[in-house]
Amino acid sequence: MSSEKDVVARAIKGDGEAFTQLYEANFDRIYRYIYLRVGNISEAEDLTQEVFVKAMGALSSYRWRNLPFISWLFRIARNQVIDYLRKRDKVVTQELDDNITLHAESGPADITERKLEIEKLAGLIDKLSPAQKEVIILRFSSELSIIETATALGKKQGTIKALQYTGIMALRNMVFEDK
Amino acid sequence: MTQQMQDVLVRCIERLSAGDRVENCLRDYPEQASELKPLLQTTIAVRRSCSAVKPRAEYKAKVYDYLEQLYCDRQARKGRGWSFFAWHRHWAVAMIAVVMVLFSGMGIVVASSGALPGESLYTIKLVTEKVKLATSVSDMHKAKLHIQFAERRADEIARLVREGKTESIPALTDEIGNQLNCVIFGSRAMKNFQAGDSQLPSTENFWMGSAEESEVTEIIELLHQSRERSLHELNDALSQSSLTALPSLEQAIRDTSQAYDDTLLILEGD
Repeated sequence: MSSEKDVVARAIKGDGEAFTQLYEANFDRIYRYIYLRVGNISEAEDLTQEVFVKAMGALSSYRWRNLPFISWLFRIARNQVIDYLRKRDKVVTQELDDNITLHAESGPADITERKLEIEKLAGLIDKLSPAQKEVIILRFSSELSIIETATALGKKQGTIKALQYTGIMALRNMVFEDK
Repeated sequence: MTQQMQDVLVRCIERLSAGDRVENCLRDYPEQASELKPLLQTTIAVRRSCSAVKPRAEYKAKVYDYLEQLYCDRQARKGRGWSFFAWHRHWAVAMIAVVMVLFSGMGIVVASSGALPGESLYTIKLVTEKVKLATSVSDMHKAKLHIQFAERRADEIARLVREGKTESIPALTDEIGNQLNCVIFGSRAMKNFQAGDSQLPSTENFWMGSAEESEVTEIIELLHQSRERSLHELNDALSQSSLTALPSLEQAIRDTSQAYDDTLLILEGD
């Protein structure tokens, strides 16, 4: 099995299969991050597409620095989101779209339940501080490790650990207050 | 104590990711168990809800098709030299430039170089820039011109502020971002994109994707220098700004800085 470094190197050289591998491995995680930051499907779709187009345009200038490829993608995604939110003067999460696509294998009741869960989660995450919010989304929605999150946000690992801790504490307290 | 708890939490979250159970983590950290339990339960709930968000399958497939096409075009372009049509187009634009210079006179073109938005010669200044871009024979040269034009827009903002004129500042700030986007995507692609003709920049001017490493390095260096000069110029204008111009100028400084940083981020691939 090829290492990610090899896959990236092959994609830069024009190997279509390697490109597909990178796309499949990273697309959902980038989309999920953007969706939870902007809270709107059509905007999340546009921004995700732009991230991948930008990344492809800059692929040949990508340098492997012993960090996962997705850290680089997240840096681009994060800038896209910041730019978008600044331009639209929006504060992160709006009401979630009705046609949200859920990863539910079961019936309508389950889907409704999961949709409510996501709506509730998005509402709670939205109440976190901007730094906590970003760490929680990157860690649990996009499944980045502490090191990857630190790289993506340009922060120290200790800071990420602290933000994760205080973020989970805050979410836990909000859930408790809710009950 | 808190830092120790943070480390324990990180270790337990990693274990849960690997398929371990909450009970096992609590057993291994009995002193922290009471605090740890609700945090791990919250983590599981958050992760479960997050993982339910997925892109629509048809959208994902559509983006894949689009990117695949871009990718193929880019690869094809790497092995392609000058096409007849590209040569033909450049030749035609060069002729237009010669005609323009003959009819308008070099003096006007030179005089327009210091013009500001709202002045009669400003249009000639912009047309001259367009002609320079159109007659430039390489993508590398075009990219350098875009950087130069971005810097010009910053200079124009600073001069307008000193003259107490603010209405053109947001448009000029946007133009800095546009010029910098063109460094990566090319001017025609960005123009089509902004006009709504295409959803995304077309592949034709996707030159940075196939640029030589030395070219990318040179462009990065030029961008750093240009960033420094542009921001220096704008910051210098701060001290001479009227109170009414201040918010526009401060916004311009933030946006300009962001536009340079975004472009550099993409090219440096950190």
